[in-house]
Amino acid sequence: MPSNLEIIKLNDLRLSARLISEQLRQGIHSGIRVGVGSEFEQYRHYQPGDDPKRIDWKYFSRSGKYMVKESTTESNLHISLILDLSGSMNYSENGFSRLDYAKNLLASLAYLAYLQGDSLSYYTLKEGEFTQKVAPTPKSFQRILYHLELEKAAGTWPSDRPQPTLPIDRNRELIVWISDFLQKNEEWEDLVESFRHPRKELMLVQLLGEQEMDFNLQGNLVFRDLESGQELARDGQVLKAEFQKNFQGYLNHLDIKFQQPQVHLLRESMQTPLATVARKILNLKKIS
Amino acid sequence: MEALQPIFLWGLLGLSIPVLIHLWNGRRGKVLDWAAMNWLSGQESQSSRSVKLEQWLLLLVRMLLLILLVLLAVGLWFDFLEKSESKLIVHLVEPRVGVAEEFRFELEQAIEHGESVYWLAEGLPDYEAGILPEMNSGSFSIQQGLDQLPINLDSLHFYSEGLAGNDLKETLYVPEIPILHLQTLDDRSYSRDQIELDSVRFLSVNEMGMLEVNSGGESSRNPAYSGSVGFRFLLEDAKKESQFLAAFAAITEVYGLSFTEKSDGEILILTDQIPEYPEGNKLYLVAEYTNLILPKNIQPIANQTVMYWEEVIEKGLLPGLILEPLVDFLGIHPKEARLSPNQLAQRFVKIPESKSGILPNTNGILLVLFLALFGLERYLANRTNL
Repeated sequence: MPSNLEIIKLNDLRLSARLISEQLRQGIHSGIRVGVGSEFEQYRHYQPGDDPKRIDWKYFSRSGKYMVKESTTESNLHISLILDLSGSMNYSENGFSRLDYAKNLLASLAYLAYLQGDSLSYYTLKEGEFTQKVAPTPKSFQRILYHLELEKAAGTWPSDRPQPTLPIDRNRELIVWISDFLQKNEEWEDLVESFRHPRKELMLVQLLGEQEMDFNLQGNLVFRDLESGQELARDGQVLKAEFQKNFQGYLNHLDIKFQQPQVHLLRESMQTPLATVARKILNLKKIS
Repeated sequence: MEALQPIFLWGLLGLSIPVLIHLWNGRRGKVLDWAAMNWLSGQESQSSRSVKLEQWLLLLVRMLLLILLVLLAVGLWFDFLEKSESKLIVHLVEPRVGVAEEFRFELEQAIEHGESVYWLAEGLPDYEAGILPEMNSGSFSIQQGLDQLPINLDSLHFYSEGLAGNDLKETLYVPEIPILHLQTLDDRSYSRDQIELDSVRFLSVNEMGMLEVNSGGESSRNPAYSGSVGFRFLLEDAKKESQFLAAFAAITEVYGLSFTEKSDGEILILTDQIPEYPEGNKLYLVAEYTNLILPKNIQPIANQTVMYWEEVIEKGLLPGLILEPLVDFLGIHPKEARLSPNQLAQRFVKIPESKSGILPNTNGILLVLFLALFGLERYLANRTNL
């Protein structure tokens, strides 16, 4: 199983998406679910409990057997992928950045959705503004990969900008939102709040570095803010206890804030294997 | 500027310690691109650069404090802080007519320039041309005169005849190594007495202070001594007797002075023991080494050279050793030896100067500076919480 670094260093989102989704599909039968659909797949014997409406009476007239017609279920799930492109996504650890990780994760999710036949759209959030990069079309997977490869993270969230909005329709939708959710004020909370909708499921993936979670830094360090460039020279050991306290407090605060129906917060370290995160996302989602 | 305790200057090495600590602390750490900035403690409104500047200022002040402490310990002596009292130039003149005459011009010049000119005599009387101070012979030594000089002299001029006699045999302690002015003209009268060897030959001292045989001159009518020298042996060792006789023969051959052995009325007694009751009008030559203090007419031969008797004989020094005291005893005094300027200069030793006795005159200034800096340091330290 290739490691995150190996996958990311491939620098080929198409390939890495395949690699990751292959790991996901290990030991699973072809993931095509059967159910009610327009395209015939197979017959099977009627079993008590099946809807009698589904019995193929024409077949019964021919063979005298109660058979049920099955077809692959058609997914009418729409998936929106949102990638945060603020400067803090450039935080890197062990040779790759948060943005690299997010790109690969999004690529593999998009690949899975593509296999599934779901419609995909892709948005970026940069400097407090949403941009729709890819509209839901049959070719959207390829376009998403193209855009993902070009994305660069920079800038910060301007404090004076009004809260951005996305055109919200009434369709069922899975929104996968990848960010670090490190907010200055309460911009993320407000944004998530505005997205809440009974027919939409929010999957918030918070990617954090090991150092951000554990803070095992020692010695004389100059912390340079990725968004503002401000520098802070401090001793790592001195900062440790307070940072851990503050940061854990913030994470707990986020947990409480996002503990809402249709909202999942998945907090993952950047060292977690990409496939594991992807699987967790698939397992967490309730919508289908 | 003069440091009174220069060894404390090593304390300045201590300056490197705060600098090293400062550099160690201030070294730029590893730059870490950090996203979770909001949760780092110490939200500083101040940019780190201004903090550093202030720290440098504080460090500078503290180092200056240390420098001042070291300087206080070292004890700086600034000459310009002293009132400019003109240093003395002292001229010491040996009270001899010849010296005063020869350096008359220099001494007058010195007086004209307001320099002090003293006779080197009891109480250091002021020099006056042509008037020699009264000499209470014996009680005054040159060292006594030198002791009366003030300690911080600019320069000392020493006018001397440069004769080995006048107290110049010993080491002299002076506050300043003197500039020597030695008399070059020699007008000393030497002994013109003669010894009549026989009717035509006389033994006398020439201008160079050497014995020579001549045919007599004006004073040949009154020879100090005439005829042959009568001597007597008082020896226990018969071998020495022959050695003495051989020496006499050599003297006779070179200078014509003849010796005759007498048992009565002799003037020269050769002995190897110090006589218990010496007669004043006889010269005793003792063929032994002794460190007793003896009257003038008892001369231990071997004392003049630092040699054993055997060595004296072997090197053939005995005739000279006999002749010297003998001629002197007979009344012909050779000239007193002059000291060369080098020899004379060696006699003077500068009195070692002790600096611990001098209190540094910068202490007041340094203390005020120290207090001012200390106040500044406290102020800065309180402001930056360091």
